[in-house]
Formats: sequence, C-alpha cells, structure tokens
Amino acid sequence: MGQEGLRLTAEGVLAKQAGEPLGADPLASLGSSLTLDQDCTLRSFFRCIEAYPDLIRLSPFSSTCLEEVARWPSSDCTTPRLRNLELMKRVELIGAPGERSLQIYCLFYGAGEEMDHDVKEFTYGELLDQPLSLGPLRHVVLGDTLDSLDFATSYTFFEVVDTIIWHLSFQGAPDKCTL
Amino acid sequence: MFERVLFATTGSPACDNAAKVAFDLARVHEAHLMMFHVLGLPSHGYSQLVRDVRTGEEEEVSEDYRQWVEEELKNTYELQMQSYGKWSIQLATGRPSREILRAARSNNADIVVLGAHTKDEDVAITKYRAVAGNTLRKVAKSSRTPVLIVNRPCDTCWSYFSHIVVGVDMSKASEYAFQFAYKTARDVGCRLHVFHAADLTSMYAGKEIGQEEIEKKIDEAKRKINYHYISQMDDYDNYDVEVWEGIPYVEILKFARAKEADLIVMAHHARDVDPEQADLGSTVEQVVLRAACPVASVNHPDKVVDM
Repeated sequence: MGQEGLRLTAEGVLAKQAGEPLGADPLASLGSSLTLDQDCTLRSFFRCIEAYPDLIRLSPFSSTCLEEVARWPSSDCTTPRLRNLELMKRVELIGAPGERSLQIYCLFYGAGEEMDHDVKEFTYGELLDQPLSLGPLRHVVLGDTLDSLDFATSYTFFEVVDTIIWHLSFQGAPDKCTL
Repeated sequence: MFERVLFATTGSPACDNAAKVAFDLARVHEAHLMMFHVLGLPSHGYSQLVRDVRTGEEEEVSEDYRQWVEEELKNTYELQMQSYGKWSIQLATGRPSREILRAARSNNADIVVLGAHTKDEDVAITKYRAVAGNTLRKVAKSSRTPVLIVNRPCDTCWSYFSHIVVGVDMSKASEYAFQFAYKTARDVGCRLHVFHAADLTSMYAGKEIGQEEIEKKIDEAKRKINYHYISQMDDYDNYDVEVWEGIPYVEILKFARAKEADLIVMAHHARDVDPEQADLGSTVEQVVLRAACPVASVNHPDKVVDM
C-alpha cells in the first residue's frame, strides 16, 4: 500500500487527505506526495517548518531561513513583479556532443506576468505572502528550452522542502547598492 | 597595492557585477585594467574557426571578427571606460582557463577578477553539476595570482570596505589568504575578522558531542589562530577572532552576513592538499555562489608577499 498523500494548508498545517493533522513525526511522511491548498503562500511553508522542528535538520540553511522570515512583517510581503511562486520538475537530456546524461531536478522560481525570475533577486519581504503552487514537469531535450514539453506531475513532501530551502539558501544579495 | 588588474570577461551580463568591481578596484589603486576576452576554442588544431562564447556560432578569426568583438566589448563597458581611462583590451583564442592563466602570468597581473559563471545558470542544477563555472574552477586551482570572484552586485566600492572576513583553517594556503586579507584591511583601513569554522560533526563521524568538548575544541582553534595569524599583525589592532562550530561554508556565510562583510577571503582548497592537485574546494564554491559580497581565493604566496 502506498503512502497516504499530504495536504499543506494556508495556516501551515500538514493534514492527511482525510483531513486530520499529521502527528508529531513528519520524517516518516517525507516520501508522501504533497498537495497545496489554493491559498497557500511561502509563509504557510515556513509555518509548517516551524511546527515540525525535525524538518529544520533537513538542510543546514533551514534555521537561517527561519531567522530571516522572523525579520519581516507578518503580512503584505509581496511584489507586483511576481504573480506567484512555483515549483517545477525538470527532466533534461544533455550531451551529443559531449558526455550523454539525464538530469532530473526541481526548480523554485517566481512566475511574473511576462517572465520568470530567480527568487534570489527578491528579499523575503517580497516573497513571503506570494501564492505558492506546484507546477508541471518540463522535459527539455538536448538543451533546447524553446522546444520543451510540459507534463502534469506530483511532488513528494521531501522534494518540496528540499527545493525551496535550497533555492532560498542563495538569498542575501545586498539591496542597497550602488555607489 | 595593485598595479595591474586582469579582468577576464565574456562580455555577457553574467560578468557585469565583476566588471563594476574590476573598474572600481583599478580606479582606487590607479592600476592598469586589462580587459581580457577569449574569442573561443578553435574547432580543431590550427583551425581559424572558433565557437563564439556569446552566440555559440562558429566564426572565422579574421581581423574583422577581432575588431567586431573589441567594438562589442567597448560598447558593453562604455560607461565604465568613460569614467576610468587606464585600460586596454586583449583578445586570445583557446581554452578560456588556460588563456586567462597565461595572460595573468605574461602581464604580471597582481589580481584576476572574474564572475562565477560565464553565463547565468539556474541554481537548481548546481546541485548536480560542477557548482562553479569550469573556467573559474581551473583558474582558481592553478592561479599564482589572487583571484577575486564576483557573483553578486557589490554592496560597496573597494575603498569604502568596512569589514573583511578571512576564513582560515591553519593550512599553508590559508596563511597566504590571511596575509592577503590583512594587507588589504590595513591598506583600506577596515576591520579584519579572522574566522574559523570547526566542523566537529565530521570530525566525530556524526556522534553527539558534549558542550564541554565543543568549547575545548574552540579554545584550541583560537590558540592556533593567535599563534599562526595574529602574531603576524604587528601593531594592527582593528581585528577580532571568531570560531564557530558547524559546517564551514554555512558558518562562514552566516558570519559574513552578520558582520555585513564587504569581502570574504579564503584559501581555495582544504588543508594539506598539494595546490597543483587540489580542485576548487567545495567550501569556496558554496561560499562564492551564496555570498552577498565578492570572494577572494588565494592559493599561492607569489603576489601576496610583495603587496
């Protein structure tokens, strides 16, 4: 029997699909597929991490991220440059010429009206209340990003935690440049 | 302090932040700035065809093509060139890392400035491929000249630096990094933070370590820092020493952010490794990609001693 899927609510509560909240040990559910409620934001994600301290140990950057979250106001942390934050899986065939390889990895980025942005371009004060969603799997063949195909997919709880924290670990660009 | 600055560039936006720092550094030291660009790798031996690093197209290395590339570079850095006049452009054909090293040597450069990547790449893939750009890896590994890596917009100009963090691990290469940081701090007149991260978790293979043991190791590291580094500082007292326990690259980044560092200086590989054999240390790679300020990788004493 497969693992029961999980649902993340806007309040940061991890619930089983039947509705009852997950118990105190989230580690056994890292392999479960996760869905996000429609009103989930990045703040919901961090509320979940705070609620389950064991998750902090998944990345050396989790505690730094939580410290950063605490520095910003508790609402209205958005930017008009972004429509929402999204995860995406990417399958990439590389090589020919060069050594042939296949990479499967997850991205976390800001979707804007006209173009996508790296989250490292923004402060937490612009990200925390942005809607958060799980995007498709994109298949890119031999580096041709213009001719790629999108597929519906699912994400495990671990993929979501690992991807978001990994990308946010690149935050920290100064916002007061330029002499 | 620096008379000749070598700025290696592809002319792409990925090098813009490095360009700003390179011009600024040259201006402060009234140094000659050599903008160095590698046209591309010949498709086969003695071929006149190269693959252009920006367009990816095959081009014949004719005088016209060289002039066109030079003109493109001048357009790209027009504003900086107008504000500072002591510059020249050098073009070469070949493998970028080898040509940069050759140019640094033949021009007797005092410092090499470059970006972390030749093109913008998504950070997700850095988990699976070589983290830093291949050119940077090879240059930092073999350069006898300090290499200044700029991955983000620089917060302050070189002369306005207030805090320099030097990450040390008591290795020989670390000593050169320290000397570079110390001489830079003394020259600019800013505070020097001598930092060491004690990775006790890996030392004890994942076992739980008591607080008493941690404090003992930290005190031991502080004693070594005083012996190896602080004793070299004569009467310079604008410094402090910090030892934190944890994963080195995470702790250095945290420390640099806490101190609002303007520059991080590190030896480019882990301790007790032959510099000729060492690859770009994973600690430096992780720091370079995440640091909010430029990172100087110092591996050899050549240029540091005369600073």
